[in-house]
This record gives sequence, structure tokens and C-alpha cells, in this order.
Amino acid sequence: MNNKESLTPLIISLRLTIICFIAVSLLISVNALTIGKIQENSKTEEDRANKFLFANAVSFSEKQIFSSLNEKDKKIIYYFKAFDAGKNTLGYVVYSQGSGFGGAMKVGFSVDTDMKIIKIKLMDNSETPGYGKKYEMEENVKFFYGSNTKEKPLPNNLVSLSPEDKDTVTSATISFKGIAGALEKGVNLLKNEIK
Amino acid sequence: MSNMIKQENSLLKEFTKGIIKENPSLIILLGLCPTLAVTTSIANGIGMGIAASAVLICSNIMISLLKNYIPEQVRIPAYIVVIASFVTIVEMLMKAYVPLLAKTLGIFVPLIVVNCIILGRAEAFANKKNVLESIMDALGMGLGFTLSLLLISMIREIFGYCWIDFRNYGVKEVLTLPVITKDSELIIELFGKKIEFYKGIFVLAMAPGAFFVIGLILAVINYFKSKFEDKEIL
Amino acid sequence: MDLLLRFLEISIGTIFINNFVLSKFLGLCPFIGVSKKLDSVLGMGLAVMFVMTLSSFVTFIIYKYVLEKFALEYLRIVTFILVIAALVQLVEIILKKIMPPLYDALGIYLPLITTNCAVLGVAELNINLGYNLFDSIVHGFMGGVSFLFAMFIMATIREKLEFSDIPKPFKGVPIAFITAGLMALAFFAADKNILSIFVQK
Repeated sequence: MNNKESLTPLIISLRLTIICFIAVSLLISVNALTIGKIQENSKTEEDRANKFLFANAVSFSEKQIFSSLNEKDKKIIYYFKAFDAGKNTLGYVVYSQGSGFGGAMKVGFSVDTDMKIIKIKLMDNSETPGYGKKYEMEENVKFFYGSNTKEKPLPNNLVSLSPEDKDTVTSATISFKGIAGALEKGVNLLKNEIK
Repeated sequence: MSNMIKQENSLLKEFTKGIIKENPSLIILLGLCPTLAVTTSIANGIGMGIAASAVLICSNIMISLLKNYIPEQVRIPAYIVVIASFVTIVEMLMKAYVPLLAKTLGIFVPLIVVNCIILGRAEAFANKKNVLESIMDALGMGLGFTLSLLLISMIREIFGYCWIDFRNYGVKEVLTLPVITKDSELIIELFGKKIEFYKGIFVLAMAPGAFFVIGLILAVINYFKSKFEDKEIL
Repeated sequence: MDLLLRFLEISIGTIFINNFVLSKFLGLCPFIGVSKKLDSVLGMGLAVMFVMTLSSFVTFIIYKYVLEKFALEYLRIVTFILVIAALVQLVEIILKKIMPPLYDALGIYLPLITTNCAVLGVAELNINLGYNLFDSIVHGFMGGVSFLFAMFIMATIREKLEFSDIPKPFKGVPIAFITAGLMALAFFAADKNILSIFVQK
């Protein structure tokens, strides 16, 4: 105990600095080891979502931004072009945002060149389990597929749905309207962007 | 010879005390934030438990090794630096190898730093005892913490969603309980009519449910505690 | 006008909809441990509010202008916790010198704040949510308010609970948790979508 009392402030701060220095150098080396893997992960996650939404595309473009949005929204709402083997544009994969019951939610969807919806997927969200969360499953959002044409407009209210689909939607109307809103927003932005 | 047995016994005691008698989150009520926040599914509960235990073990070893080197006057900042570096390492490893889990746990991974269990063990145990004892203590405390997370998350996930979700670890589908449909409903057909027998108690999986579950568990613990105390008096 | 809307959005969001204690589970240890008496709740709550506002300002500046600039993001956790610990020490010393009466009221709670998840949590959330400086300060302050608010309700209920007839195993902490659950249920019912009215189209 005695020798601890006799430590001078200089030695105390020196020892603390050494501990900090060792910790920092440890962190730097671990960071160097993991950073590549982390970046790769976020890339594959994006790839996987794109592949799910646009199954028959061979490759995708780099991330494209909507020039009409402000800086903050540009990070949230963006799109990819989907190409076939001959680098012809087959359609687009758009990531848009709508507001559900639990706040903002990310909606990914794919359209062909005529703006017909091919597939949609509810991504990051904080909806209530059993209610809004059920739209995460593919069978509960199937009624959006093939819509946004002259014959079948984008469903955005209960009236435009078939009786079975109405049953799915009635218990979670706010989330449904949020998804429909996100689709409409994404489609309109895309129309303006590629005009 | 007897000395060695005695030492082994005391090591075993350091290990087991953390599991029941001094269980950090259910008896001493430390580290409540992660206990309630991440226990929405068993997978998250176990992940959090393992991450916190890893940090606890590493920091206990480190502090026990450095106990004569760290100056008494600045010990708390030194402990914080040690703990925070291990937390950062765990966070980076999780982001690299279990990215989905890291995303779900969110800010509760960095918040392991302020988990009172870890700083508490450093201050109360590791800076006085030798390395072996500190490891045993950390293992016990970590196991106790993980087990209590497991208990709470099991109740919340099975009664709340009626499924077990390990998708964060790369499993493709959720495990549903055999009689229950994918919408977590138990439907029984009776005389050709479908009767909804049970629908998941979703509130258990949400924020309020966490408070209810831990309140009930603590009440059960209190009940048994008072029963044992009565017996001793008799 | 823009700033006012943003201010309202963050304030209502953090106090009523994503309450720090009841829906984000930050700062639970003092919430259960200190909420027995109204006086101590006010002391703890005010101290947390003060430190949270200050720390979300300082950590944001450090992250934006030092860590991000030199690509040292991985030192975030170490820096934040050290900054908070230093800040708490500093506040303690300054209060002791300048305002002894306030120090007498808040002093014993200050050391507890370093290990309060809410303080580090708000610093982390500011970065995660992509807030700017103004947002961060408002978020820090309102986070403290939401903490005080939840603690205040809890303390008033717990003072009454002392005199009620509760089954024996539930006495003390268990009934406090059940009460917190009922409070969280009330906060949970808030439609989070409501915030979108503040976002300018």
C-alpha cells in the first residue's frame, strides 16, 4: 500500500497514457482486420435484396440517387438499374420510405420499364408484430404485384382490393397505407428521374 | 494436499455464486437495460449474454493482471479504458461475423461499457483477487447473466410470437411450434368450425411486456426466498 | 420555422413516443433504484438532464470534427465514455466551487451518472440517427426531460404504493416493474406515425 501512496503525478499519468496507448493500438489492429469484412457484408446484403426483388436480372448498376431530393433523403431513398446479360435495362429496383404505425419504414420494390410493379419487400421497420409486421411475409403483399398499370392501378385504399386481400389489410391499415405511399413516392420519383 | 482441495473448492464457489445466489440481473438487479431491451427473442438474448460475458471475462483477466500497475488514484478511468476497448473489439467482431445480430442489438452493444455488472466486478473483485479466481468469477457471472436473459427471452418469444427465430445467425426459416400456424395462431377445428384457440400475446414481445415478465419473475423469486427463510426460522 | 418544427418533432418524439426509459429501456437502474422518493427523483433527473445536454453537445463535436475527420470512428466508444466521465467530474468540481447549494442537492447523484446508460445512449443515438448539432442538443435535453418525466410519474405512484395492500412477493421492486409495464403500455399506444405531421412536405 505504501509504495502506491508515493507515486508521483508524473508516474500516474505516464502509466495511464501507456494503458491508453496499448488499448488504442490494439483497436487499430483489430479494426484493420475487420473493416474489409464489414464493408463486404453491407455490400452482400444489398446484393441479396436486389436479387430477391429482381430475380431475372443478371447484374445491377451502382447505387443511383434521385437528384430532386434533399441531402438527407438521398441517403434513404435511392435506386438501382437492373440489367440483362447484354447490359440492356430491364427495370429498376427502388428503395423508398413510408410512415407506418411504428414510424418510418423502408420499402424495397422492383418495377419494369413500364413502371409495372414486379415485387415488393418491407425492409427495416418497427411495426407491431402480428399487425403491421405481417407485411414482411411475401404472401401478404402479393396484391401489389403487377399493379400500377392502366388496368390495375396501385392499390392505395381498401376499396380497390379483392375481398380476401381486404381481410389481410383491415387489421393493419396504417401500415398498408404507409407501404402504398412509399411505392407511390418511389414510382413518381423514378418517373421524373428517367424522363 | 488439503490446501489444493480447499483452493479448488473456493474456485468452484466463485464460479457457482454468480449463477443463482448472486445472479447479477435477477438478484442484484444490475445491468437491467440490456436485460429488458434485447430479450425480444432467444437469439438476441443469447447473443447479448455471450457478448457481455466475453467483455467481462477479458476485462476481469486484464484488470486482475494489471492490478499492481494501475495507480490507485486513477483506477476508474483505467478500468473504463480497458472495458471500452474490449467492447469496441466485440462490436467490430460482431459487425464482421454476425452482422444481422449486431444490427438488431444496435446501441446495446456499445452500451455494454456502462453495464454496471462489468465495472462492478472489476471494482469489487478483479482488482483484489488473482487471475484464476477472476476468470472463475467472470465465467460464473457471465453465465448467470446469459441464463437470466435466456429465461426472460424464452418467456417473451414463445408466448409472444409462438415461434423461435434464429434468422440472425443465418438460419433460413423461423421454428414454429408444431400445432401453431405461421401467423402464431392456434386454431382448432371443432364440428367443422374453425375456432381461434390462442393468438400470440404480442404485448409480451413489445416494451411493456418486458416489464411485466421481469416483475413476475422477481415476484416468484421473492416468494421462494421468503419460503426458505420461513423454513430456517422453523 | 423549420427549426421550430424540428424542435417540436424531436421533443414530442423523445418524451411521449420513444420515451427513453419506457420504450427504449435506457437508464433503468436509477429508474428502479432511485424512484422511491420524490426529492431524490428531482435531484437525479435534473442532474441527468444537465449532463445529457452537455455531453450530447461535446460528443457530437468530437465525433464530427475529430473522429470522423481522421477516420477514427472505431475509437468512438472509448472517447465517448471518457468524455462523459471527465464531464461529470468537471461538473462536480464546478458546482462545488460556484453553487454549493445546488451541489448539495445534486452532488450525490453525479457519480452515478457516468454509468447511466441513458447518457452514453443518447450520444450513440445522435450518431446513429444522423442528427446534426441542433438536433443532438435538443435530443439530449429532451432525453433528460423524458427521463425526469418517467421517474416523476413512477415516484408519485410508488409513494402511494407504500400504503396499499400488495401480495407479499410483489412488494418492492416487482410491483414497481409491473407499474412501469402499465405506464409503458400507455406510452406504447401512441401512434408513432403522428410525428410525420411535423415533417415538411
